[in-house]
Amino acid sequence: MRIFQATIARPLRSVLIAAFYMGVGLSQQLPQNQTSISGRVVDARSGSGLPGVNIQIQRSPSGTTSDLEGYFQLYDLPPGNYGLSFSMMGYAPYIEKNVAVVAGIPTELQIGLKLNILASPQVVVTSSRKEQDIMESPFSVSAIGPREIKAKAVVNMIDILSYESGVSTIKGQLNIRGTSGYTMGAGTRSLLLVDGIPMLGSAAGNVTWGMIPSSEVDRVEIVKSGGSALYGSSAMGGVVNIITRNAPPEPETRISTQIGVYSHPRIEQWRWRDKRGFVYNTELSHSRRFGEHAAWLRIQKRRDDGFMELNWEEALNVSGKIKLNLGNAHSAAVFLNALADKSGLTSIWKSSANPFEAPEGSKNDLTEGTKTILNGHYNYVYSQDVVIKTKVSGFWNTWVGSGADPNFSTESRYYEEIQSSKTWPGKLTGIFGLTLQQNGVDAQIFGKHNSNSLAAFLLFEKKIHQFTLSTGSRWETYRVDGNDQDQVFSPQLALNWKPAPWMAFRISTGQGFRVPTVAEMFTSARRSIFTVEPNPDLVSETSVNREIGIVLLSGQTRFLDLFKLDVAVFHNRFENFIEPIPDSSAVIHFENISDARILGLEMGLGISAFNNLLDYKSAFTILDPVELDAQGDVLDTLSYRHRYHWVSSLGIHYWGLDASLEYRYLSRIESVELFQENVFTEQDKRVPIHVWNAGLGSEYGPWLFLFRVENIFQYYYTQLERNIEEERIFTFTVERQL
Amino acid sequence: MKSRLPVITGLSVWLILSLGLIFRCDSPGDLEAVSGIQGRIQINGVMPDSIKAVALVVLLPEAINDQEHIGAYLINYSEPLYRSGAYYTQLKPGQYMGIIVGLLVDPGIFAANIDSYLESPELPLVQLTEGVHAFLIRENEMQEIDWDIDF
Repeated sequence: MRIFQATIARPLRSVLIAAFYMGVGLSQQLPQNQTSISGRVVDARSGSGLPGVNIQIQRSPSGTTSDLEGYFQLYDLPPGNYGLSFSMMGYAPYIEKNVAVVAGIPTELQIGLKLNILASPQVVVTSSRKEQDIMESPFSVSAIGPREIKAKAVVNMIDILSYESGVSTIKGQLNIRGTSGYTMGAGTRSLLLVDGIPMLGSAAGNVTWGMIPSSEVDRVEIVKSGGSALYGSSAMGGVVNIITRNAPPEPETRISTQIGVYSHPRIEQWRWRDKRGFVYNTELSHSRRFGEHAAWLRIQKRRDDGFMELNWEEALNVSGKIKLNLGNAHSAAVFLNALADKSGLTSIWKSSANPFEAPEGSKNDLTEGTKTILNGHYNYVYSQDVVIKTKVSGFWNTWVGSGADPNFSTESRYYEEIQSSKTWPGKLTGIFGLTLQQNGVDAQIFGKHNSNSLAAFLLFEKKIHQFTLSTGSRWETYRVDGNDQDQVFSPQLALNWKPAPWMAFRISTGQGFRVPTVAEMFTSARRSIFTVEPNPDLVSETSVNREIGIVLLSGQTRFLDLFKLDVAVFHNRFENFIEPIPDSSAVIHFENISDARILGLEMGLGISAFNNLLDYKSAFTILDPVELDAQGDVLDTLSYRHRYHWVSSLGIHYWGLDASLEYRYLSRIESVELFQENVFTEQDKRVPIHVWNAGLGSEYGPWLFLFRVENIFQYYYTQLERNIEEERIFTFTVERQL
Repeated sequence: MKSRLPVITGLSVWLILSLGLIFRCDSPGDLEAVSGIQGRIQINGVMPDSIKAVALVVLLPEAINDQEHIGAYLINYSEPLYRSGAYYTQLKPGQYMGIIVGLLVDPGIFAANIDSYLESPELPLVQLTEGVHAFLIRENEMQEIDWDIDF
């Protein structure tokens, strides 16, 4: 099969093809007044057809997608010269310039796209609740594709998200552009979705990362602009949507084993065990089609000795997805995930002289529980213009803690959503939806409570030439323990201007909100010398988000296979911001502090060069997170925020080997709530974070080998006071595809 | 030319901002081995209600000549104990004095208001050991000292 490469003179090629058809006088000739461009898009290396490639005529709203074999056709084009852009997840985008179209003569093309690890999904679904070209999104959206996820062979998705621009985590709490900080696990301003369904715990809004089947993730979309207008409470700081894969066309069985070993601490005095700690992770997955339907099932067993004394964990996870295609108009999916886990439990180290050891009297503290998620999706294509989508979800979580401080919790969450979208002539799309959520919790530290919410949302999006205008709003009402808690209305307005296929500007503003969680309102607990007391008088916090940004995207130029630059300036102003505040009696209440503001600049760069030999991805975020008084004057820096955040990764792909080097820098946390630095003794010292990781992987037939070292230089730091972060670990992963 | 424009523009902006950030980056300086004092405080008998908790207080040696302003010489104190248990406090190398004290206020209140307590002439502490224990801390040294308190 002959594949035209980008290095061939493209205008000449198109003319030659047209001339060829003219010369041989094929019967495919169209009537004199009709013209078309047809062709096939293939993988440049294997030559196999690529389905679902997004093909767009430059400076025009017209476009199409390739069929299952990679073929495409564009009809009714006036004679002239056209530029066509081709984009697909995992492949470098490509522009075919000067495609000559002559009246009555079909023009045929054959395009070879090159695989590229950095090529993120070009079509995203989270920012507008519908499929949208990422270059046309009026919001800050980034996406991580399956190749990038597979290249790290992570067990926990947090290890992927921590290397994304503007995303950080403290003790598993997601933090997008500094909005969440650390709230002791009792409330988050970043919403996690799995296949579009909220996955936050019903009492504390926490995330159980062990329930995300990382090896079955198709892509991750991160919306960094406030998302309350579409997703409600907890989305005011952004949304992470983890989209699980569907079964591939051919049956596939995969066995994967990962063995990891922790280093002993670099500092001899900190050594706390004679034998090294190990990590074992084994996964078995099978996927296949049943006629029109498809399914995958995955079983994971994990044992982690932990990098510190009470950091051990044992888990058994079973997850599966069934996709049912019920004719042309109906489709459904069911996702099930069940996790049984047992882990050590500690909230603090023994001392700064023994940071990897647990405090006296807590060595037997552990927690044991089960968690189950059942999600259902049903899509109905009512007509060409109207699609109805419904989602239902149930989440059940039970755990008991034993040891010095016995504890228990039982929680449940039920979620229902119906969404209808309609497209009118003139590129106008409307989306309307209703959601209902019921939460229940019975826990030792919260008591027994229930909450529920009802929301309606509406979004209109209109494409006018190079502009995409989006406006939407959400109305939501909350009840806690049968009493009205709040009613909130959140509008948003956004505009994208794409003057060229390689450049897009975006500007957006919107209101966000977050209703206090049950944990923030009712926690009653003691931690060290501090006591946490309930504050049922908390009110919802609100925000106004503003952002302006630009994206430059270029593919397949002389040396560069892919170039992407995304710059954003954002300003988030919060009212009644909820933070844990210790008072002069060392009693911590979650309180509505008067105001807060986060001003920031974010810049992300992705480069792939020399025929995919080298790729480089880097992003930095600069934040100014401050607490304000009623007059708008700065009172203090918001606690648990890093002012500077810089992530970089370099990949080299040669001789079938993939080598990678990653670096993560976060500036020293300037303000904390519990233990302040002692200037005389340096006790509770806070330091900046400099962490380096490296990996070497290779695919050999059905085998995949991956060796990784994380925290190469054994850099020791804390984010949360008196909690040391991860020790160096070497992991080796082998995967065999049957 | 069009395809080069975003690359050149983007790389230039990137370079300028990256250089700025590199210069701003804090130099690496992670947590290191520390020195200090640790051990056990054994509480014998019944602690009176007026004493809320027990802790080790570490003072500079100069405190012995200026007992009116003892707060000015307080360097660190261990996490207060409600019953017998292990204590620990981090110290830089140097000469110190240690005494076991009873806290007359809730340990949380003491921690939250430490600055104002240190400035006041009367600290809400009562000495539980006779005299003071002088000790020398060397680089990366953790001294082990056990204490017995009788009520």
